[in-house]
Amino acid sequence: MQLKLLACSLLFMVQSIVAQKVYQLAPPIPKYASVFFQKEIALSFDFKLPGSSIHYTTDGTEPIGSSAVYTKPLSIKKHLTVVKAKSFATGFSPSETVSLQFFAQGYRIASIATSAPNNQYKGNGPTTLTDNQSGGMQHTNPAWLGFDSDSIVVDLSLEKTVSISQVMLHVLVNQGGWIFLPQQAEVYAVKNNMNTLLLTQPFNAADETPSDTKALLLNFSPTTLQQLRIVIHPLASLPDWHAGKGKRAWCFLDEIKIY
Amino acid sequence: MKRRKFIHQSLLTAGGVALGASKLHAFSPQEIIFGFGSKRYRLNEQWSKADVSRNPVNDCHEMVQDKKGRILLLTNETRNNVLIYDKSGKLLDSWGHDFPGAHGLTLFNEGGDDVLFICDNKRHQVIKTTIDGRVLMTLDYPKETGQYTTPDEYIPTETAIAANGDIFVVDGYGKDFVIQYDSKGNYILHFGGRGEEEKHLRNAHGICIDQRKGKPELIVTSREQNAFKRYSMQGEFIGTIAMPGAWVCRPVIKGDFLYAAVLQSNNRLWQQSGFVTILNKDHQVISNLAGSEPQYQNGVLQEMYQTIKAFSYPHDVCIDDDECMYLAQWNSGKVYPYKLEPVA
Repeated sequence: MQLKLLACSLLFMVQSIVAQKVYQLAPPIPKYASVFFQKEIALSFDFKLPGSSIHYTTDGTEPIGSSAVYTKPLSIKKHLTVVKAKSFATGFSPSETVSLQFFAQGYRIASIATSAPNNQYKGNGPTTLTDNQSGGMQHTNPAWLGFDSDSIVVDLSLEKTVSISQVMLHVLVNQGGWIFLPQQAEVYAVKNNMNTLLLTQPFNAADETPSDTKALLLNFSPTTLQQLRIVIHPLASLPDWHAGKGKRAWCFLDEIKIY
Repeated sequence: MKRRKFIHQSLLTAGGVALGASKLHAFSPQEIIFGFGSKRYRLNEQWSKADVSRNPVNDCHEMVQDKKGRILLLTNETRNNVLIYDKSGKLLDSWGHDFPGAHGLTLFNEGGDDVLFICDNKRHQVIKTTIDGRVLMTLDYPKETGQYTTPDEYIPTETAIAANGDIFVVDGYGKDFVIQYDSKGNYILHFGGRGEEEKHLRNAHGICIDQRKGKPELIVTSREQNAFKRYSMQGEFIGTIAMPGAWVCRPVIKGDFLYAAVLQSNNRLWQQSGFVTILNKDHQVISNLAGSEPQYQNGVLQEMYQTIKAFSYPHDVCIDDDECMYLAQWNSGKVYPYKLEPVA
């Protein structure tokens, strides 16, 4: 009798296992004012599924079940902090990872001029790139400037003469929406109306994740200056697999930082 | 309350996982229960017994139940635009090859006979048929409104039929007007449309007539605004039902409740982030299936979003006479509809 019961239970279990599908959770929802901050910025996560928890890391590793549990808003204070978070719940497979990187102020930019963005995506003018506002994944967010020209020229003047070694361009990638990484950028020191090339940096524009925001870090040997020019070349020819094959890609920028 | 019972209940009401209460629970698989409170469901993805080689579907757009209790599905697959099932998922019949843009399906009991209204957004027409597909009337683009110069500007997505037979059409992929006709198809008036005021619409994807509080009124979807909007039967704007974060499809009223497929979540656009939402008759969200637990702060509904990747792009729900739910999905790998059974 007991054996029969056991067999019956086992059969039920096997059937249920076969029938039961394991669903993946959706990722937690990050809430933050901007990825650019002056002193610190608060980051919170939302995921209203009872029984679930959010695990996160700040060391760049993938969150796992034993990573820190999110309980209250995090205060981000360190330049280039990467926060990765994932939803977990018993009976579900964990969500994809939400990954965010935060950027400290850098040297203050006193004035900025840019070549003209497309009229549809002109944000609040050139200072859109120095206002500490991030545009997230929505290219229509006015924190983004969208360019469809063959080159983008940005002239910057710092508050004072300092020694700099890095320019950060924060860009959007949305390959389905024709928005790609630029193919190249150049940084020039400007002194007495003379431009001195500090760096030419090519990018692997077609290889990036199809949809993301990205910090392009341009590193060069420390140079003392107050004025600089950055020239960005959007991808001139969309790759063969793309619907717009051969045509020029768009380039979207929401912030430029100097370190 | 005894502890054991309390634990069992809290697990069941968690909207997430219900553990088997047997001794074998450590080994037995967990059953996923979708939803919250009094509106929780078990999902059956294998409900349809249709043979995909004979009766394929493309986008599964909308579903209704007829007076015989049968479940009708409208798809833009012209090998069979309408599939007719029994409640167990057995395919009983199919018809229709002439609706390449089959989108909206509304059933109306006209003096004892079931008739159907199909919105075809490729033909730019609304077609009234018998339950077995004989065409009774075709409504072309509403030039009487003075708002349209070519048929292409008119992309109707849904109809609602008043008790007197008046037909309300929403032009949800066109100019977002609601157009009212009498039962013979004579133009009466139009309202809604695009604009900056609250009474205007953006992606007026669905419409229904709400009789839950006695006096009938219209509830119209404004999908890109993540809202439903209420109007009198004469088209006067009454108010907005904000659905933050939710790309709601057509409102479906059954009993005291309003059900709607949510195509996707605003925080993850075009990433198969849909769920299903349920509101009570005071227009408050009480449950989301595969979506976040509804939460009001100072009377304001907080942003909603998908939590469980069970659905891709839900497009319509149908609630049958047993309170079971059928879910049709757009652009979801040509899957047949799912059935969800309520959990007591």
